[in-house]
This record gives sequence, C-alpha cells and structure tokens, in this order.
Amino acid sequence: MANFILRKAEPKDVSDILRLIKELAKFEEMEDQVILTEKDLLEDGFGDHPFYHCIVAEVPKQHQSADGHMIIGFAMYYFTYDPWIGKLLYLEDFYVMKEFRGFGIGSEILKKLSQTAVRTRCSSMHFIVAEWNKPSIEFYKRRGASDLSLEEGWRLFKIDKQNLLKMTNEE
Amino acid sequence: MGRGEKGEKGAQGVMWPLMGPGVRTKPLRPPPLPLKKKFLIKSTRFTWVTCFGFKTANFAERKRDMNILDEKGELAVYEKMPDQVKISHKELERDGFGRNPFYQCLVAEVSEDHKSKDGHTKVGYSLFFYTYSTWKGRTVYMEDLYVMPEYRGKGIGKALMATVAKVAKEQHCVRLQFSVLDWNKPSLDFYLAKGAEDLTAKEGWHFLRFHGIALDNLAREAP
Repeated sequence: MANFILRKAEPKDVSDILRLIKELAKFEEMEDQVILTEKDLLEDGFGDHPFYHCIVAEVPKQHQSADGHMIIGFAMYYFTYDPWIGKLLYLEDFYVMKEFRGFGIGSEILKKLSQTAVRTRCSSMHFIVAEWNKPSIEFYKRRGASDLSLEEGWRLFKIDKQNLLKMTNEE
Repeated sequence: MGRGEKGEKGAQGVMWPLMGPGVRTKPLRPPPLPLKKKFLIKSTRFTWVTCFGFKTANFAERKRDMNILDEKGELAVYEKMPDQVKISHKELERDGFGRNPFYQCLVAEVSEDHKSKDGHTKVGYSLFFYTYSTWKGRTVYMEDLYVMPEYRGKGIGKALMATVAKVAKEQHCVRLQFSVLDWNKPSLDFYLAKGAEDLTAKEGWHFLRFHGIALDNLAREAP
C-alpha cells in the first residue's frame, strides 16, 4: 500500500485535522490539553489572515483506516522570523496515523515542507521535539536536522494567559 | 481559556493584524525614582510601529526604525554570535513593512536630550510574531527583546514586554513563548520573576532545525 496524495488542507478538512491533533496529543500524553475547536481551526486557518498552513495526506476509499477515515496524516506549519537570517518555516505539528506508518508518508510530507520552505525563500525549517521522543529525534537527525538546544543551549519558555494579564496590569 | 471569553465580543470580525495606520505613542507613567533617573524615564516614549502597508506607514517612519538592525547587531554581540546576522536593512523593511508582514516590532525611544553616547534615541526593541498551537490556538512568539546596556535597570525591558503582552491579549492569544540561551542568567532571572516557565527543563522540549544545505538536500530528495 503506497497509494496516497498530499494536498493543501481545505475548510472541509477541519474535523479530520482536529481528530489527528487529538491523536498526536494522546501520543504525547497530553490529550486533555487540546482546547481548540473546529470553529477555531476554521477561523484561524481559512479566514482573511491565516495563522497557520496545513497539508493533509489522503488515501483512496478502498484503503481507508480501520475506523473509516481517508485523511490519515497532516502537517501544520507557519512562517516565523529570525532577525539575523530572515524568514523561517516553523513546523508545529506533524503526524501520520499508526496503521499508515512505514510507507514513506512521513518522509514525503517532510520533503514537501522543505520544498515549500525553499520555494518561499526560507533559510531554515524549525520545530521542537520532546527529548524522550527518541524515534522522532532519530528520524529528523537521519535527515540532517541539528538539535539547537544541545548545540547552542536554547531553552523554550512560555508565559501563560494568567501571567500575561498580570504583566499588562502592571504597565 | 482560549480565544473569546464569555461576555466579550469575541474574535468575530476582528481583523488581523489589528493595527491602524500611522504611529501611536503611549507615554509611560514615571515610577518613583531619584531625581536624576526620573527625568530620563519621563521622556521615554513607546512607539507602536505598525506593519500595515506601504501606503499607510510613511517612509520616514520605516527609515527611522531601520536602526533596529543596528540594535540587532548589538543583541547578536550579546548572544556571542555577531557573524550570524545575515539580513540587510532591505530585507528587514520588506519583511516587516510589506503587505504581508512576517513580524511586528516595538521600539523604546527617548527624547533627543537623553540620547545614547553614540547618538541613538531608539534604545530598546522587541520583535515578535504570531504562531499557532494546535492545542490552544493563537500564540505570540517573542523573537527578540533588547535594551541597550546604558538604559537598563529603568523598567524599559519590563515595559516593552508588558506591551507585547497587551498586544497578545488584544489579539486573543493564550500564550507568549520565547527562547533563552541557557548561560544567560540575567535574562533567565528576569523572565522567571514574571511567571515564565522553562518548558525545556519542565517538559523536555528541544529546538531542532533543518538549515541551509540540510534543507536543500531534503527538498532535493523529492521525486
């Protein structure tokens, strides 16, 4: 089985995208953290100014998943900016359903993303990976990725909404 | 949590980016300080730089803000990577002030009589953009935050960051993210005091990238 296509996501795909987001979150053991809704995805991805771009992997009906799905993988990305080198492509989520792994779908998605990055004059493609996720880290390193946290000491930080509001009140 | 709390108008009909044309300034409330420093703080203005379009941002504003690149040179030196600044004023202008801006930028400006030793009135900046979390939705990513050494300890960094937080709030973002080098203790302390969490330590996230040749090779493998 190697029959699949990669295409740009359309508004009709949002329920599949949300399903796959939740599956990936489950794998990362953080399923209850997904508060995004289909409505959010629709507005934020297909409105006048999209906050993200998405490609989906689709198989024909005769190869659909055990639970009847044809959209079996996706990648969500957006463009960021590094003031030293300019535009970057940031890969936010990247997932292929378990039963469809080992067929080169993930590799094809990654190639398509890198082509998009090159075509849009991005210097780099960035993403984050959990350090315990050895299979993914190996997958990326085999293809030439470098770990900036290890090599240069970068640490990722967040400030959540509560503390953000506190900061605006202090101003 | 998330966008559009109950009772608010919500994000319906809110256009992004939410800035109007021209430049807005917001005078700072001077904090209680010794007479000498108070004078300096009182004059500090924050310029909300709009990245709207060529027609609405006038050339003088864009030209004036191009010394952000000089400041980036300083930030690069602080992060010990001065040879890594590869983009020019032209790219910065195109990418921030075109029809489709890739970043937003705030500058901290002092009056002429408080300019720096080398004659600058722009003494700090923050560059940020919008990102997206598949779990939580709209997020702000703060790429750069910098205040010239001679202007530190006066609340400028704090005020820059608070303004970024304000923009995040206005745009219904649920989170502010950024990254810090592990040896940068002053910055780490600054952020932790504001309630920041180190996700690399806490959850094990590492930053990876495909850069330059690695990216080209990956693209070339396509059938």
